[in-house]
Amino acid sequence: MKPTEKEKQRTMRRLELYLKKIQEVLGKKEEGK
Amino acid sequence: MSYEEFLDYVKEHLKNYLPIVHQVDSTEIQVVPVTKNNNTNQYAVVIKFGNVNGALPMLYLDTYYQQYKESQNIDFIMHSIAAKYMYSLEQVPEFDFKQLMDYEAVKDYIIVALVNTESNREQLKTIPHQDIGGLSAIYKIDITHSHFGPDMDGYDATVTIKSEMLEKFEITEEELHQVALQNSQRIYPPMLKGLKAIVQDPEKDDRIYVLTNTQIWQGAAVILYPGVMEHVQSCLGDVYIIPSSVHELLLVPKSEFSIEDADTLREILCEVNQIAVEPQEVLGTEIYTYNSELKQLQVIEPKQTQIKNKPRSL
Repeated sequence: MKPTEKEKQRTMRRLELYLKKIQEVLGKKEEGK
Repeated sequence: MSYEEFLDYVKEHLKNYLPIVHQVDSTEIQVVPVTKNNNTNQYAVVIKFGNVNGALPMLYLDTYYQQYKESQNIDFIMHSIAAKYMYSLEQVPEFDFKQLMDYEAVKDYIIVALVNTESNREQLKTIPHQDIGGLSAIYKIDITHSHFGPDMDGYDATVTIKSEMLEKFEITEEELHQVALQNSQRIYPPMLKGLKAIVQDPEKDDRIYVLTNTQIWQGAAVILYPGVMEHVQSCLGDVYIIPSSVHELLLVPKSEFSIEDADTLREILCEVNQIAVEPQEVLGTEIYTYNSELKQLQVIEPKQTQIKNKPRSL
């Protein structure tokens, strides 16, 4: 199976959100050093 | 029009949008609930044409309701549903559902998928599965990759293997697990890639990784493939594993994140599950680590009180 276009869009949105949120955590850690 | 009203409308009026030859009393429109992953329901339309026997396609209506909400053009949506159903009907005769019970016919197309054990507890009672730490490996026949299946890319063309099918196959659950792993590795090769590379972020300093398959479809199951976690460890060292969806896992090296950060990662997981993951695509709410000696996934308990061992090795 291949994902539908809607599933691909959802996956990209999900991953972009994770990237943003985890980068925020990394940023705070670096600020605290 | 609410979703319930939309379903009623489809049931009452779809016949008027079918080819004239099917606009007869013997054509029966049904709208039926279908239980999907995580015990979620989706509704599908099934059309029975008089005395015609054999497999009938099920067309899920959620997407059409979304389109209706965006366009408010019910007439266009009904034409779309009717046209899609008639097209799907043409594809179905190529597929003989009796073959689903024939192990020799399906054995090369059995694949493995990963689901949340607790959220699927009822369904798992009748489905062969293996628990690997709050997650369960289940098995599906991937019709799109079978020699008898129609070209149905983009449709949910998989059939979950139930206990009654396993009895017909006359194989054990362990044999099923092994054949599914072999096929999955062939059909859906694993992929380990930086998150930034996948979302095409211009920065290259990836410190977050995605473990999935080359289709990014049901890719969380690649963690079950032999050697995959060993490869991850050789590339990234020890990692925290975020079950971001049934389609992929996120990995963050422990060299970048302390044990205290696992609580924050869990909060992010729960938040993203709520706002950006369809209910049927949620995989879990726990953060995991991998014990290479035991070859087991281990749940990181909140507040770092303990690491909980789980029963089955990968």
